[in-house]
Amino acid sequence: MNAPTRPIGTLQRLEPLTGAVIRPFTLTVCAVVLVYVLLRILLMAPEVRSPLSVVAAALAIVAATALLAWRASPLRSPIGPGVHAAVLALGLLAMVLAAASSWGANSVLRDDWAPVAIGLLSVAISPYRPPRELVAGAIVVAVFAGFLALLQAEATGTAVTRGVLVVIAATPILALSLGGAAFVGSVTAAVARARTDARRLEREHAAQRRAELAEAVRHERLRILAREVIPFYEEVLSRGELIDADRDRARGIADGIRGVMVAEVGRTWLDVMLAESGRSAVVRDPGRLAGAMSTEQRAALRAVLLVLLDRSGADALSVEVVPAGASVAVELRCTVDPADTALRPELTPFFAVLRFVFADLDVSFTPSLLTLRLRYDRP
Amino acid sequence: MALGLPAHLRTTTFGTAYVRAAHTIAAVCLAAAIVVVATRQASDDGIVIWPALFALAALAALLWNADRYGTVAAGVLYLLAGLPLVYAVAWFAMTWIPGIHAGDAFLLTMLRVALGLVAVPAFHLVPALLWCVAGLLAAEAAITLAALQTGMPLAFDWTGFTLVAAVVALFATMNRLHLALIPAEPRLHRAADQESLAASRTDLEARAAAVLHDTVLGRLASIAASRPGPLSPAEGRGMRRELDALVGDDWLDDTEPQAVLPTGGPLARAVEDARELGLEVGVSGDVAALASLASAAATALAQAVGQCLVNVERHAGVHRADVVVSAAPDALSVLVVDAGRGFRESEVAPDRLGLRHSVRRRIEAVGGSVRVWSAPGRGTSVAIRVPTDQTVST
Repeated sequence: MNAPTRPIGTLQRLEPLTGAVIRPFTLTVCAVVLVYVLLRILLMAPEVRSPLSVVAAALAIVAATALLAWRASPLRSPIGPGVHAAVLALGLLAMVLAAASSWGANSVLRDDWAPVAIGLLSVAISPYRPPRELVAGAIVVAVFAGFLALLQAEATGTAVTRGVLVVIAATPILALSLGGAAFVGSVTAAVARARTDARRLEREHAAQRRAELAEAVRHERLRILAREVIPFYEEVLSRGELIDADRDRARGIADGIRGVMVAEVGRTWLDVMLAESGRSAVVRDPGRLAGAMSTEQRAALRAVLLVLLDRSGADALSVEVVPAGASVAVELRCTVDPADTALRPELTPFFAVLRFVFADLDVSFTPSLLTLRLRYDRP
Repeated sequence: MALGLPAHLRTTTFGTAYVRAAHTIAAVCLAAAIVVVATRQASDDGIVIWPALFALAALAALLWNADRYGTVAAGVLYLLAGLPLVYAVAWFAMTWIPGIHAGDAFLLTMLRVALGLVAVPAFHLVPALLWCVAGLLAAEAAITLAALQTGMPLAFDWTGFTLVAAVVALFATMNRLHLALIPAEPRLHRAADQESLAASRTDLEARAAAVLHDTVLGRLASIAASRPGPLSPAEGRGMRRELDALVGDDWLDDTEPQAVLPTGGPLARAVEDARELGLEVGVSGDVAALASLASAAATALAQAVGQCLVNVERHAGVHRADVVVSAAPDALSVLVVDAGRGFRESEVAPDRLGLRHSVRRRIEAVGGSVRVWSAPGRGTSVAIRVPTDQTVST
């Protein structure tokens, strides 16, 4: 019962695998924004009164896209409301500067590029934020854009109805942002439905699977008992009396069983998994802290280990789990085949998942050595 | 546990989400067009563009129909009926609004986008693109016809083109992305499945160890300490019983008889709520004794158990908890047990009020008591005891 992590309904969080490949989407939309802004600035050049302002406006858009592209890496912490607010603020700044660059000269407000750019930026950020926040952000920015349009209209004295100008300024922002929010909302709802179905199926099969497992464990124990305990019991029962040798034998058998039990208690899921893989792997976890990982953390780390254990070139795997202040530090090292260029792209989606379920992730990938450092809260 | 969408659901999910996004954008554009027409009409009595509102409303209804049913027929209907409707709106606007090619051409952009984003669930790029092109062509044909009839100039619509192109680019990128994820998905689910099995296995092994400890190890220790001589009848019977039990097939049967909580009772609702959260909750023990509780005590007990189960779901890192009910002559005890991460109560952050407020205070308010046993890595057991004496509990 520690480190409360309430799930937030973002596409990135509900679908951690997308974290690895959502960045190209963000980069594509950012590129569309930059190309669009550049083209529109060139087309609007005759109306520009202050080139400095228009350059500053373009730089604000470049800064917003750069911030998004940088923070969208699966290895960085998830994009939070702060980045969302910063991107929208840079968009608003660009809108104000763009309006200032043609103040009093721009009679055709529908040619303003900033609302479309802000709407596209909102689409680019949509996989990282919950739909409600996207809608709220869009409404705030749209209101601001409408207000700015009214000020511009007063400055130019345009004959176009003021209400129409407000709609013109606000619509691209609302349309694109709400579109992005609808996309994310639709996918997150599907994920939620899939989870409910998966849990129902799991509940339905849980009893049967547990019975099968119980049978397997029982057989394993019987194997141990059949070696010494059962013959000993049968021997004593058939003899009907205890002899001197029975005492030593009983002590010896008990010591053996106790030894097996102690060894089992000292193993964590990590020891078991790597031991069962049959590969040369070393686990150093003196405090048995691997057992304190959550189910999701174990599953994500297992997935990475499954990829590594499947590679013939991935050798000398070692995992160290040590306390580090209030948290636990995990260091996974694995020598890899430098010629195996497919390994890194294959692992990338799982790094995104690790990034979500662990408090911290650091990946170092030299041609012959992969090092993963993870942290999670200590129970 | 689930770490995302299974591979087989990905294509349809992303395709459906694209359609929902496209239709939302189209709906906002139609709403903007309606506001523009209404504002224009309201601000100038000398023009007659209000009939365009009917055409826009009809277009909105057709869009709703296309979104609701998502069939090719609904998409085709939207395009075919949309053509004359867009023509009507454009004709009214071009006839009555002077200089429509300037600021008010926004209205035409909205119409182009609304028709251009006629998306039907198309899970591949080419059909999605074809629908967009068909929608844009239909809108362009209608607007061109209206312009030719009213003698208005035509101009390339940058904004409309960009909006539609951006939405299609989004779909194209997403389409590529989810395909890239398909190889990773099964591995992640395999890992999650293995993890679930490993957790069950650890639990069963611990149970098996306990059985061995209580039977065989105890017997062997007793033999090691005994003097040589004939087995007493009791010893013989005990050894035979253990042998039969160990060779038999039910010594690891952990399916404790599951109790059925009184339907509709507050505790049953609390357990059901926790199951809705995805927690597997096993209930056992003397559930009939719940009837002996006064309603205040029963409610407090249910709320406290509910909070304990929520805590397991949120913080324990496991997906199973057990609720064991036991009755004493003057009290009823409920034990909520999980095999999760555990904690030290003294180290629980002050802002974590669940255990203190929702559990302890509630129970103390009805004259009961709460005890918590937990240690890091060793799970948590919360024992809640409430009096069955109604004069105390109320």
